[in-house]
Amino acid sequence: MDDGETKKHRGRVQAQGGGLEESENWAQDEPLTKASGLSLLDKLWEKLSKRDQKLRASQFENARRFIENVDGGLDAPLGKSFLNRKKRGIRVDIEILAGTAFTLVLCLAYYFLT
Amino acid sequence: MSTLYPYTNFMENEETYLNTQQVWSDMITHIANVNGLEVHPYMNLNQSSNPVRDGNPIAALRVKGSKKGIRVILVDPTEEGGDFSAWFNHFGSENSDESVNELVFDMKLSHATLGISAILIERWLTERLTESTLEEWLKPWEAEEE
Repeated sequence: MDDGETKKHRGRVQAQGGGLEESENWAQDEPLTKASGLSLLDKLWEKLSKRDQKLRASQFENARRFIENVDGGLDAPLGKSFLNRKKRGIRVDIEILAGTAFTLVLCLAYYFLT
Repeated sequence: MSTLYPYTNFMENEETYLNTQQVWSDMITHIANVNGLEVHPYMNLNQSSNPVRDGNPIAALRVKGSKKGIRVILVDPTEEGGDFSAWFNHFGSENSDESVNELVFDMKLSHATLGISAILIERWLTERLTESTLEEWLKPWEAEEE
């Protein structure tokens, strides 16, 4: 078991299909915020070639919209897949493996500061 | 496009959504039971504040005592692209307790897509579905590529 697996809040975003398997993981003691989730998606996007970006542009957009619209965070385990239905297997996956993800950090800050 | 299934508009309202979810849960459970297996949910679809109600996924069931799982994603029939697709996925870190070897479906619900799903689920649960056999089953469903 690696160190990351001892963390309370874990998960990953992945770009898969067509021979590609790239991912960005999180493993931390506090819930992943929406902003951090979106940042991981951006990092994943930057890892892809122009061709792979083009194949998944709409799926990244859907994943981004999904994270932005989460209300109150999501608890593990949960997997979401955003598939390109015109190119078989081409997709973006979000996996919340432990803890909570996509919280609104402002809510937490307010809670601890008041 | 094949004949519309009664729950094609699964996001119409809460009742329809839950009925559709039940159809999938019942079907997967039945196929598992017939083959001497038990299944249980492995994803948190009833989130404390906001239950998952977008069909992604509508069901996620795992074989008891095994890492084999089935995840079903339903999409609106007006979505662009193919009506049916499936793939293998490894959910979670390999060798961890939470990891599941999934057969994932993405589809527009119809009698035809429900039918092929049942066949593939049965083959998956009885060790008769490989990457290459899945490819063969999916060939007739491939969407016209841009």
